[in-house]
Amino acid sequence: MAKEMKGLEEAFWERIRRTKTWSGYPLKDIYGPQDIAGLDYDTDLSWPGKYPFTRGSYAQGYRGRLWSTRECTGQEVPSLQNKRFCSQIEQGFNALVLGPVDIPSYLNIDSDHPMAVEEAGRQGFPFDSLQDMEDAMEGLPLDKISMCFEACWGAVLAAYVALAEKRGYEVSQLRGVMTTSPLEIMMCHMPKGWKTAEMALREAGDFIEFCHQRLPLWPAVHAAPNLWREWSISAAKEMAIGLLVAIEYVKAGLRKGLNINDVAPRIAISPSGNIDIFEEAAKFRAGRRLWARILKEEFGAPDSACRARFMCLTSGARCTYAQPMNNIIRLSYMALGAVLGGVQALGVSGYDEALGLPTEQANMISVRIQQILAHESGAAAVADPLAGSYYVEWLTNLLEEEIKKEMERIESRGGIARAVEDGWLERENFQDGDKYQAEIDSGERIVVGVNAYTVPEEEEVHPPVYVVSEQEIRAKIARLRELKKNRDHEKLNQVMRRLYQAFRNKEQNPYPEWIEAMKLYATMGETFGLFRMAYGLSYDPFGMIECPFAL
Amino acid sequence: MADKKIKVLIAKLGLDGHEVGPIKISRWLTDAGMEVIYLGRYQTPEGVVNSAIQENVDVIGLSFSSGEHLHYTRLVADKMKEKKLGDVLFLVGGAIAKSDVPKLKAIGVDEVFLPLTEKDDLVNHITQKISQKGKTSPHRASEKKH
Repeated sequence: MAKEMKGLEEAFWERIRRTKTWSGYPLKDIYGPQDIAGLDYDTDLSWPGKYPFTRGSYAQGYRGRLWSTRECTGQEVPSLQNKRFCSQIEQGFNALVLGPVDIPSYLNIDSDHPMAVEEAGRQGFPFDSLQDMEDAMEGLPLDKISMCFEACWGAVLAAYVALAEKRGYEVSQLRGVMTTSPLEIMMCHMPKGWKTAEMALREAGDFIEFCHQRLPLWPAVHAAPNLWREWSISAAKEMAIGLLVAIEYVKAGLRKGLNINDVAPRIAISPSGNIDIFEEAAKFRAGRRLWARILKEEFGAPDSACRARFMCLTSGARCTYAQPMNNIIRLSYMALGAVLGGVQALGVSGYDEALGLPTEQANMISVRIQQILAHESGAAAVADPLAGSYYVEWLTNLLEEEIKKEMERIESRGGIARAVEDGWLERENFQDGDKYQAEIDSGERIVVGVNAYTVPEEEEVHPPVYVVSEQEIRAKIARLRELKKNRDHEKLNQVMRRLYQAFRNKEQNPYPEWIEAMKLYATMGETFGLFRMAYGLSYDPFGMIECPFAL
Repeated sequence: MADKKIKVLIAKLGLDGHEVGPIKISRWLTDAGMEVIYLGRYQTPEGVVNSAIQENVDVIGLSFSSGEHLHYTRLVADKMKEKKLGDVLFLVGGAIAKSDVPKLKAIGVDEVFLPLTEKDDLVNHITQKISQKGKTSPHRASEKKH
């Protein structure tokens, strides 16, 4: 009896123990006017839609347009993806995501590659050819939806345009986005030597130019610092990496001879949506302000080209395996931080993130989180509602300083492209993740259900887990093999020869040839092989397959 | 003679890039006084086994989170048999379905650790198993000469 009473008393006196932001910046217990003395409304904040855009990218905020719901589901085969798209549309999704792609597709190899066969379709959509795009988009009106291709290579965009042309759509009217960062995917999800930074930056330049010419409603390329944040790096480091990568993409676009007016609006950033509500809102506000200043001061962009575009993905790393229902609450806070931060698009992870691909139920909860946020909570009714808060304005200033420090640190070590290729940032990832784990182990950082408020394993509630259909995946791989046999080899070879030359000629935009190749059912792996060869690498990154085309 | 540190080799096989698991385990085992050699991602079965021999490790630990654990574990188990590493403790961990645990053990895995594993359980398992095997296992015999 005495033991229980003691526990009760302790619980009564429980108080906040961690007095830092999630990223570790020390916090006072209260902020006041002295903490933001010197803040100038017109130069530091201004209004939403006005330079430096601290308070928001667009004047009307969410009254003009709600953020896009970008829910990733990455089904294991195209027919199931199509089914999921149809049910998402019924649930009120205002945008669709083909993604994430599975791991072989992240690496641009085909599902029937000997190294891919065991992993195809397991953690996302197995993209191989136009056939997959046709099946996934069956019956969907391309001119009425906004498509997002998450973590996909140029071959996927080429296939989408090929599909649109084949089905008679006006390509310039298509809406969508590629949340692909050629440079970052290289670092976070590719072994060394898969691609070079030069290849990645060329990809970025090609995207920008192609979208400028043919997809005016389509932001071209994304810096994707959300990938890095999954290693538990700080909010400032995350945004710093995002801004540096985005700057590289701006330069890649300018090298194509385009004007800054045409390039800047094509660059977007996909930050993480993390759990510290105020730190996240401050991160987005500081990020917008810094981006605007960089574009104006370094690139001479006019005000209208200086607005940032944030497509936010909540952090899967915050979703625990233990007591997974808790993740619904966590994801709600992450979504709240993002909306208070004024993002343009939001993808909320499945609460079952740690267990597998999102089930349909988890997917629905993710969109409901967004719908309740939009229509019941009031958080989106007024633009930048946190402005003027002593704490948040102080934190925004702090984040700006910390982001700048991180940017300078990376620049002084050779810049972001070099950091990606050298691998030193990758080594830091490990250290950052290690530090985070140490804080959990010591109890300095509390994660509910993991190192506090735990339940015995037998009492853990296990939600339904999405189980991929092995049969469907095997059938899909068999179809791919059939496809490769039954294509018009002669015609395809001619186009592949031209595509190879287009890749070799570094000034040339390969998309026209690429789209033709996809129409003839070239595969992603095959076009990636040509891209590699054009840069002096082996056709197959594993050295197991010879180039089947006469070039 | 002072007890040597228990040497643990950790690796990720296949194409999966998620590293949170190995990072966590490395921290736990290092804290517990073990020597951790983390080979990193994108390793091959040959690479893992060769490194294990080179480093003369006590434990091989594989981390999986994308469903390919049965396939790669089988390949590593075969290689270990070929190179006579029967005395090395073979552990697998990660996001693995409970129903696959007996299958992994049938392949030759000594123990499987799922995501709710507590630090002490893992550490104690390794220390107990290693002390049971003793210090005179065949593949470590060469050390006595130095």
